[in-house]
Amino acid sequence: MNEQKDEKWLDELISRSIDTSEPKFDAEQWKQKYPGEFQALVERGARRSPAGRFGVLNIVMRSRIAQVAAAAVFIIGVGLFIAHLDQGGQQQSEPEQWTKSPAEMVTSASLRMAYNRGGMEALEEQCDRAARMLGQGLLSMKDVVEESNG
Amino acid sequence: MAQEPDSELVEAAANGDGDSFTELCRRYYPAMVAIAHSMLGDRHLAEDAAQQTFATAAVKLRQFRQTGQFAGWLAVICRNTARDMLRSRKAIRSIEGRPATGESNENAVCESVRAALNKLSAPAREVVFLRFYDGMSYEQISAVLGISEQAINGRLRRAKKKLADYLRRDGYGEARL
Repeated sequence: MNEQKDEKWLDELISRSIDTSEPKFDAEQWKQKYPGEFQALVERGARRSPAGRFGVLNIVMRSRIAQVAAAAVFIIGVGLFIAHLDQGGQQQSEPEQWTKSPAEMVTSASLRMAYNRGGMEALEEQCDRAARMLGQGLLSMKDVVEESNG
Repeated sequence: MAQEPDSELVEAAANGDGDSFTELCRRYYPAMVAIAHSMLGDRHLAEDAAQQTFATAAVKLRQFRQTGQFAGWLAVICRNTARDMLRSRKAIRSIEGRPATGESNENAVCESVRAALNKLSAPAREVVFLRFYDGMSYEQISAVLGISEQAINGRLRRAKKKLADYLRRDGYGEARL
């Protein structure tokens, strides 16, 4: 109660004793009074403007969410690039192995290429593939040679 | 219309936008005058100090990094400016400070209130001036001083209680008004 009483008479006394009317800022007067300081502020922007093209990026990258989003986009991009490379590799190697007819696969040139690529194992594998495509069982090297010589 | 946040204005001002800077000045001029007034005890000098504060801020804006606490940063510059002015004014005050003869009762009351205000600690006096300058809200004062509204309320209550005690001791109180 006493505190409330204090508030009222004291508030009135303070308001009477000090000039507490709201001061108004006059921007034009201030600029005239401090031309050097204001000019320095404005010119700083003009000096910065050549690098302004990086301004938007700088502002965006200050946000944590933007940083995480940028990192996610980068990772997804790298992932897609690697997947694309793998697919390209498969697409390149597949035609050699699967688009050939069984007859082409057992020509001497084709068998030589298989041998050069992976030795006897690759040669056997190519023969097996050709046999599978013809719907026969496994083909031995002997069969192949006999077949080749007619 | 919603007020543009300080952070956006500061960012624009730091990039050389003069209008954004003067908008910030307009926003915090009363608070800076109140702070300087609480230290200097003179309204005109306080206005000079507030304007000098903005001049210093215009030059040093590049050094300011924490965009959220711009008002607090300004308040620090304002206190330093007022302190410098106070130092250079002390010699003059000793000549000017002689009490005038034949002053009215009203003047005597005002003088007592000012004397009582001077007895308060600087932070307490500052919060009283900020509160009384056009009835600044606790939220506004909180932004300038960087303390919670509860802390401001407590500081203001203690300051007013002390003021009331000083004035009663000098023979002033609700009965004499």
